[in-house]
Amino acid sequence: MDRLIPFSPDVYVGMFARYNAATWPASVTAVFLGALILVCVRRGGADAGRTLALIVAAFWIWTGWAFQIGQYSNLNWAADPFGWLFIMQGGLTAFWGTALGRFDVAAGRTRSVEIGIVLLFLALVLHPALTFFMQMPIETAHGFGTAPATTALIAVAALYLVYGRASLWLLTWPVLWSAWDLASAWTMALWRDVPLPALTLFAATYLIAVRVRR
Amino acid sequence: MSRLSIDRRRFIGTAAAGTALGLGGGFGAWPSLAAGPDILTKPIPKSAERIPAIGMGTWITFNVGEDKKLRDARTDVLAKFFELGGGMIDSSPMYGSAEEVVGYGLDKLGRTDGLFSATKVWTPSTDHGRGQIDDSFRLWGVKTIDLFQVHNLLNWEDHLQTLRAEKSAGRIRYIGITTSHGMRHGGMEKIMQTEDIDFVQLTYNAVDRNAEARLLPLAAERGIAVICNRPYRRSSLIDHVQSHPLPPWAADAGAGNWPEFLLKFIISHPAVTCAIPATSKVEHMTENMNAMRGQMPDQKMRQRMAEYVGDL
Ligand SMILES: NC(=O)c1ccc[n+]([C@@H]2O[C@H](COP(=O)([O-])OP(=O)(O)OC[C@H]3O[C@@H](n4cnc5c(N)ncnc54)[C@H](OP(=O)(O)O)[C@@H]3O)[C@@H](O)[C@H]2O)c1
Repeated sequence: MDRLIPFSPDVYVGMFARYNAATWPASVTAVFLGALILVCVRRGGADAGRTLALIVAAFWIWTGWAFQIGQYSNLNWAADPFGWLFIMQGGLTAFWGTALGRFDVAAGRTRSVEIGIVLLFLALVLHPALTFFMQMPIETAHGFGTAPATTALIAVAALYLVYGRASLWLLTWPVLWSAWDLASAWTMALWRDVPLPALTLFAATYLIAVRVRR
Repeated sequence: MSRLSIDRRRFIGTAAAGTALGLGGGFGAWPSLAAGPDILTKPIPKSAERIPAIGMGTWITFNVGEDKKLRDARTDVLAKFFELGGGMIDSSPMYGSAEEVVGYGLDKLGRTDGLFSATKVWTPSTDHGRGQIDDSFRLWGVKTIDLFQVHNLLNWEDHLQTLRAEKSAGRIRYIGITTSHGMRHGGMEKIMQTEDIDFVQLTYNAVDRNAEARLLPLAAERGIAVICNRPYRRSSLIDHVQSHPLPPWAADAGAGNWPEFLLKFIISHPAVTCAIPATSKVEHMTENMNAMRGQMPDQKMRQRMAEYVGDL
């Protein structure tokens, strides 16, 4: 695994500070889009689902383009293909949720919706909190919907918010990415970056288990 | 020679040690290798050009991206490398921004006396390989690259053809192939037997000694220079031995500390041309470069060194 990571942890962490600064205020815009997801959840239904799909798609495409291809590819040759996979995932999410209209936001406060909202909240606060408690520079925190790990968690959270199991195939890339992300954080002993992909993997597995059983 | 010509001192500095290392069929007698008054240099068999026996790798250590502070810190490492007589710098397009950061450092230092630039082509596509080769010249900021290697033997047939054409055109001086972690030794051996190459790069250190059986003797027989990567097994070997005391007889091998002990073991092998430890620290660079100085172990001592490290 360490042969696949051509940089040291401090260089990787420092890259996030430069990315966050270079793309400011993208992270603030992303938080507003996150708030819009909550509005969609309140409304429920097909139109809210379309908006939800477009927001999640925007996060994938932005992170693929601005982070993977624009920033990370400078350190890792694999970031370009990763970036295109992120963009493809964004395209598929948009197509599935808008053109095919398969993202019906669940009406009412089901347990699944509650979990989805908690996961969105964790995508917003977990990484900055860990950064703060581990006394790392706060500007190196992974922003909501602008970093790969938070985007993958948001994508899983979104599937908790929509009906049925028809969209579960959209979990494939977030799961693969989070497994890779977790393995690289583990290999670099970058413990701050372990909980987010671990949570995404756990949440995706739980969602599949619950929906498939139904 | 990149940018400026190779420091003449290298060609004459350690003639005694170099002559003693003259390679023919087999390794001949194992001499007691005393480095000359300055640093130990070794001949590239195909040309007899001599290069310093310690070079520098760039995997991870020089991949610092856009960070100006880190780029400047690596430039300090580079400055120390040249100051202490360093020659070969090894990189690859696989190492992220490492080639660009080396280029930044060379540009900032404004001097590259003695630089022996070594990089690689690493892609399954022949056309993309040509683009990668052009990129390397741009990133290093040099007109000639001393050594171009096919990284991990990937698409080696086609890339060797491209590299031969570049060599004929005078843009590249030597060509070679690389492997590491003891992998692909069979493939490397076949290429060494059948192709006209100047260099091979492989993993060889006090605990990874597979190359001793076939590849190192074959390199000596075929007149191929040998670069040893992973001299410290990425830091696991050096970190491990440094928790133990140096044996009291290390001084007889010319080693005053563990880096010297491990590097002298490698570069004293008659078939080895140079070792390329990577470091991000000026003080480590100093330790590494000092391994080219002073007495070198003979065959009996090398055996003792390997056994000692193996037992730790
Ligand atoms: N297939 C291939 O072509 C291939 C494969 C592998 C490697 N390579 C080449 O070979 C080079 C060397 O291999 P490598 O980088 O994997 O590993 P290495 O040189 O065996 O070890 C590098 C590590 O050793 C530490 N180190 C260096 N000098 C030290 C000293 N004096 N005291 C204590 N620690 C020291 C460095 O840490 P600090 O930064 O803290 O000093 C770094 O973490 C590579 O950089 C690359 O250029 C080529």
